[in-house]
Parts: sequence; structure tokens; C-alpha cells
Amino acid sequence: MEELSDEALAGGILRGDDRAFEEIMSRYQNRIYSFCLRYLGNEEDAREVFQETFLRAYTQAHRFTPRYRFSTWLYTLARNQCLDRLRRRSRRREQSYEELAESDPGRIAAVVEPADHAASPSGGAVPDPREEYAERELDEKVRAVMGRLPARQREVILLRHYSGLTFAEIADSLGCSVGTAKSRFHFGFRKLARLLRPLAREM
Amino acid sequence: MKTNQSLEPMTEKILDYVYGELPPEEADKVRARVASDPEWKAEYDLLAGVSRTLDAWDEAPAPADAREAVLRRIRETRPAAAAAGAWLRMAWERLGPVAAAAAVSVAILWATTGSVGPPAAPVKDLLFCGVLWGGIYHMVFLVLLKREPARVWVPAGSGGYICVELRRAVFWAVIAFVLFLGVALATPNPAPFETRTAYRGIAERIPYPVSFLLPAGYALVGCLAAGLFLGRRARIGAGTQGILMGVIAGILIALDLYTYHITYAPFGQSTLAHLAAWTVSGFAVAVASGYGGALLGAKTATRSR
Repeated sequence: MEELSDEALAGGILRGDDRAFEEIMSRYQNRIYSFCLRYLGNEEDAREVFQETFLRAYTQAHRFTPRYRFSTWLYTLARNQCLDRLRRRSRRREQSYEELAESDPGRIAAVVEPADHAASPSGGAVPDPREEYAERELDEKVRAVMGRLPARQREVILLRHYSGLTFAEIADSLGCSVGTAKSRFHFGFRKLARLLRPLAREM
Repeated sequence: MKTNQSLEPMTEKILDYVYGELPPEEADKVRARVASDPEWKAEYDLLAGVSRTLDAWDEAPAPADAREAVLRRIRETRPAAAAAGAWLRMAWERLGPVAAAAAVSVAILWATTGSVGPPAAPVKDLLFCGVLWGGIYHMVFLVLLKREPARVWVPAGSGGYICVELRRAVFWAVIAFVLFLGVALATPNPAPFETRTAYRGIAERIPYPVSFLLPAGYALVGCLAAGLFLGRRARIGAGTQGILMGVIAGILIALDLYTYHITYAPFGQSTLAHLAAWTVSGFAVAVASGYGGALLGAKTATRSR
């Protein structure tokens, strides 16, 4: 059977076809959850925002317009929910992603200057720095470094690098110009480069 | 830190190159430039290096129970949401266009009901009435009219005059406009998805601010031209001129709405009734606005005498 496009499935959602929605979820659930997790840096928040995003995709499917790809629209929903969550967290003075990263300097320092910090985030001894770059740990470090970026730079990088949106689609999604999207991306990348330099050298 | 300052064009191109957004011939040029220029090679190495490092951050699987929670909540809330949506859709589909047409009819009837009296006031210049179709212009009129509620005697041909209360005319034009917006926002897109996808390619080449201004541009150019011709040469009555310009604006608006609607509007059922609703409401607003402009022109002419 020919695979339906995302946009055709969105039409199915409007017609009340539950299987269309389940198919959309199957296609995007990991990507959207990862986007939320990378944006918020917190599994509990990511889980809630993930659920809210898909609920909105269902109840507001009539708002989707073919001016965008369906994935762009879905990521826009997710991004708006993440931003709302960050604002609420900030109002409640809860620990934000940035604060989390800054309050755990060991984690960041291990990335920036791995040779000088021979302790893992959990405090255990790490005999060989090269072994330190096992996949899971590297994953953790990139995550921690990403948390140090301002949200506006972080979201552009997440949308372009991990979600596969073009710069033009990101600009549409964020309501800014393509130049602004690229500029935020570039400044974010430069900052990441400074923080990731030791990692990149050893990869 | 300010991050919305513009980048050098070459930096932007390298970004596009790293992420494969350049056409092949552009990509070749960037590749050659990077290979020959140490400064740009350093820039490329930096961006590509960070990009490679970020690849290490693997995708995380969504928790299975989170997916189930979404599906469960949808099953729980669907009946109520569907009922509310169906009610709204039915109301707008059936009542919106009817209400808009009724409002405009009542507006015209109400506005043109009055005593016949004072001397003739030939219409001086109605150039601007064609641009009155939008809500902004209506609001400007309301502000103006609050200063000086007025009755205007419009030449009705054969030596007769119609007395018009401007405030009432504009009030009903605003009502019509609001109804028009309601219809526009509430009715689903009539065009099949495939048709709109075909238009999407064309529409995306038009910058957003330009596409946003297009309807106003059509109405402005079309009605200014009509105003020049009708007002300066034919010298026909205000009401006729206003209605003619309204019809011209209406045609232009309808054309624009048609292309907009099949391109961007949320999609749903495929029925010509919705397109008709848009077009009729577009005409209604344009006629009401053009007529309002004609009346204002008559008022201006009365003052100038």
C-alpha cells in the first residue's frame, strides 16, 4: 500500500480518522520527544510538553495550512509549548535548563577541559579520558553544553540540526527573517564551538 | 548578546552548504572558495566540526506510556470537542453568509432612507473611496464621524436627492466587515489538498509582506483608476460611482481571496458553498465600502460649496 504523506494524514485527522493520528504519532513521537528533551533538558517537562504538543496537533488540526510542511507545523507547536514551559518555570523560579547547567559546573567543565576534570558527573574515577567519550557520556555532555545557550539560539540549532527544518522553514516557524534565523544559529554555533572544542579535538 | 545582526553573505552560504541547502552549482562555488581561502576554510571547519559533534546527541525514544496517555485523552475529550466544532461549523456555514448579506442589505436600506431636501451637491472627487474596503478605513471613518455626525444629501439623478446618515451607513459596513471576517476564518477550505499543494509552490515565491499587501494593492490600484475615469470624465452620481468602485474592488478581492483560500486556508470539506460564501462576503464588504466612500465624497462636496 502506498504510504500516505503527512499532509494527507492531517486531512484524515480532520475527518476523524484515529488511525491517521496514530500514524502521525508513530512517525513523529521520538523526534518530538527528543526535541522537547533537548530544548528543556528535563525528562518530566519534556514528557508533559510532548503530550500537550500532540493533543494540540489533534484538536487544532484545522489550523494547519499547506503553506508549511506538516513537520514544520508540528515542530512549531512543540517549540511554542517548550517556550511556554520555560516562561512558566522562570515565573515559578524553578530551576531552568540554563540554571541547571550552570549549577552543575563540573558537568560543563568536563566538556570544556576534560583533562583537568578526571571525574565523571557522578563522581566516579575515570581512568582513561578517551574511554570517556563513550556514546552515552558524550550525549550527556553535548546536552549540558547546549543548556548554556540562550533559548533563542538553542531552538534554531535544534530545529535545523536535529529536526531537519530548512532555515526558511525555521524562519516561518519562529516568525523571523531567514537572516535572523541564520544569525542566531551562527552565534549559537560559535558559542558551542568554544565549549565543545576539547571534545571536537578528541573525536 | 545581540544575535539578529546580519551575517556576511559568505558565512550564510557556508551554513547552507554545511546543511545541504545549496543547489549543486552554488555548492561547487562555495567548495572551491573554502578550499582556496584560509579564512573561509576556518569558518567551514568550525561549523562542520560543531555539526559533527552534535551528531553524537542521539534521539531519545518517547516513553510508551506518554503516547498512550495522549491517545487516551483524545478518546476522552473527542465527543465534546467534536460537538462544539460541528455546531460552530454549521453556524458559520449556514448563518455567516446569510447574516453578512442581510447586514449589507439592511445597511443600504437604512442608509438610504431619509428625507429629500437641500440643494444638489455634485460629487467632487471620490478617488479615495476605492481604498475604503478594509476595516482600518472603516475605523478611521468612525473616528471622523464621531466628531461630526452628519447627514448627507446625495444626488440621486433626475434632480432628486437622498438623505443619508453616515454614521448608520458606516456602522453597518463595519458589521458586514466583521461578518465577512468571521466567514473567512470559520469556513473550511473548499479546494482539494492536491490543488492547494500545486499553488503552494507559486505562493511561496512571494515574500510574506508583499502577499499580505496584495489585496489592498489590488483594490487601491483598481479603484483609483476607476475613480479617475468615472469621477473626472463620466461624472456620474455618487452612489453609482461608489457601487461601481465597490464592485471593482469586490472582483479584485474575490480573485485574491480565491487564490489565498485555495493556497493557505485550513483545509476541510470540499464544497463550493464555502468559496461562494467568501466571494459574496467580499463583494458585500466592497460594495458597502465603496458606497460609504461615495457618501463621504458627497459630504466633502457639500462642505466645499
